[in-house]
Amino acid sequence: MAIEAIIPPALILSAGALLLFFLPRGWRPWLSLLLPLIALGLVWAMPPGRHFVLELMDYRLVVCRVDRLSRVFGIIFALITFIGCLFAFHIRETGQQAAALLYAAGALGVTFAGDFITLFAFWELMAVASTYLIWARGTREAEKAGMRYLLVHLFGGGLLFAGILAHAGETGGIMIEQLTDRGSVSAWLILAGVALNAAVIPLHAWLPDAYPRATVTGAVFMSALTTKAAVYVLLRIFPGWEILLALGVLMTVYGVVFAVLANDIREILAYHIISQVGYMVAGAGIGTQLAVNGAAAHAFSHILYKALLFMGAGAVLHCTGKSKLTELGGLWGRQPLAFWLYMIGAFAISGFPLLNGFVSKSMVIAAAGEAHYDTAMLLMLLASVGTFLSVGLKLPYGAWGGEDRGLAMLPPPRNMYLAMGAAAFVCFLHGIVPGLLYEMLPYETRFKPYTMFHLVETSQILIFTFLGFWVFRKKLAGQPTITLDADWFYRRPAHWARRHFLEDLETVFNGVEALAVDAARRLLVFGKNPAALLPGSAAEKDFSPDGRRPALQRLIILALFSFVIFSVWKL
Amino acid sequence: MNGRRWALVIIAAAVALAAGFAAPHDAAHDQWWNSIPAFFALFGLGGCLLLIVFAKALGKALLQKREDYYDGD
Repeated sequence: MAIEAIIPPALILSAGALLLFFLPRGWRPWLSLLLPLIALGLVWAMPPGRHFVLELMDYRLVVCRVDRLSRVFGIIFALITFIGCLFAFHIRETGQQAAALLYAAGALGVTFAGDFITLFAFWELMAVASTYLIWARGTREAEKAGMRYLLVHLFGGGLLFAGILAHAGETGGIMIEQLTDRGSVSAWLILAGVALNAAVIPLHAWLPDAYPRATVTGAVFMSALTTKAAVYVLLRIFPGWEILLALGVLMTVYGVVFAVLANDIREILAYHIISQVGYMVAGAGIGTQLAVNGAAAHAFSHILYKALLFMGAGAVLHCTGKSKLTELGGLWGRQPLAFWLYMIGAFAISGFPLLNGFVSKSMVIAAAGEAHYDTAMLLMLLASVGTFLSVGLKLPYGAWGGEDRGLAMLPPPRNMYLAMGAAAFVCFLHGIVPGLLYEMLPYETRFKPYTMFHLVETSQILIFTFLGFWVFRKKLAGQPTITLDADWFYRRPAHWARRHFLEDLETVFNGVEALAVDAARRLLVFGKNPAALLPGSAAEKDFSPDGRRPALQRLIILALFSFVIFSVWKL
Repeated sequence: MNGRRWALVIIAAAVALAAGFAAPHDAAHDQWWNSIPAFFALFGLGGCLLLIVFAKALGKALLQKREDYYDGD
């Protein structure tokens, strides 16, 4: 087993997560900050190539394969883990800290995996660790949502593993490579498993089901890691698969439509993850250099502003204990800093100039235009309208604007604001100096976001969306309802199956048991004196076996008599 | 929204529209909609309206249920 000197960042985070439990309680948050920084340093410094190659039976496992694509995803995963741990710095529950670090280890492990077995191991680590971040909320709702989340992800993992086994059977190799054969069952199985984690429709319903129910800090990690690790795998293995373009564009619009209906602020944001990941999936589907660059850049930007948005919504939930628009309102005067930091994220996701969404989303849309997918382009622009409408206007207007409901509020920990400030800073940095983002991308790019045409296009869309919102703002007020989604197809049948296969079956068993006991009780009447059933027997009320036996003294006399006879005879 | 903020919005809208007429047509953007004046302003307003109406209709007809819909599950 040959091991090179380079240590995979995933191993550092995994080992650190275990080490946390052996440290004094006060040191643990500090270590949770230090570990992602070490991971970031490692990712930054790792030279391109294959590192940490292990032999497992007949296979070679490449734990760490570094190239420009894996590097850009590795950097953002490590960076957001640091920001997330800063946001969660006040948390004193070691389980949550360890789960977050293991979750990030999973994401980094997937990113740098050079073979499918390593990828699968880290894939499942992500599923398990993230489930803990839902359960840690401690509510009954979170417990049930966490179980649904885990089951769905284990199903997705099963699809992926089946695909990997079939692929290994077909090709004899397990190295991760670009798959091009559209007729291969193994490729489709792998695609389905990965698409589930990328929340590709119709395999997306786990996301808006679980994320709003996770812990305040856990949701920040979740918003950043699972879907984007899957996007990375799509870009790595499936660039140019046309179906991804269609599904990605569908996701962009689907997410914004459902966000219009959502009442929970974190559910609005969750639907906008689907919408934003749609741009990246579409980028993978287009598959050109500009599109892959655009998808990677948008993943980088999206992770930052979406984490910022989840932190803003989390600050509201942490301070008020409420997350529904129908229960919130008028927080602006009491949470101005959280509001403005949230708005930076909201402007970034809406594609305002000077922020990172402007310089990355436009790349994917331009790639669609360059490849002459005009309808896709228009639909993605429509999704931009919906994004600003819900995340930039409906949500802040409902939570921070409107009438003050006089909610009791806890003061937010200072580290929450620091983390939000750090994310907001990078959103501005890449928006103002896009070259810093572009130089990390997989391919060299000459894309220029700040053209007059693009500025005009964006400003017209945003200003007139605002006017449309203002006219119809009352229609967008939260309603105390839930919105059915594709999870209905497994939640309702599960309800039906439980009713018929468990509850009804249990009723039948209970009925049969009651019948049997009743029958036994009835038969007992006869059992009390079976002799009474015989014709001509004395009509005793209760059966007494003593009455039917020879008396004991007769037996003793017989035994003694026999003893005497034998004794005499032997003499 | 007070008067000053509305004035800012209106000025921004006017500048964006005027810039749209003044901006040179980029050969890289040869889509059909680029020849329609103020297309993106109409697109923003119309798209906003379309999304609200479509989502609300879909929600009312099919998707929106009481909060306790899944409680028995």
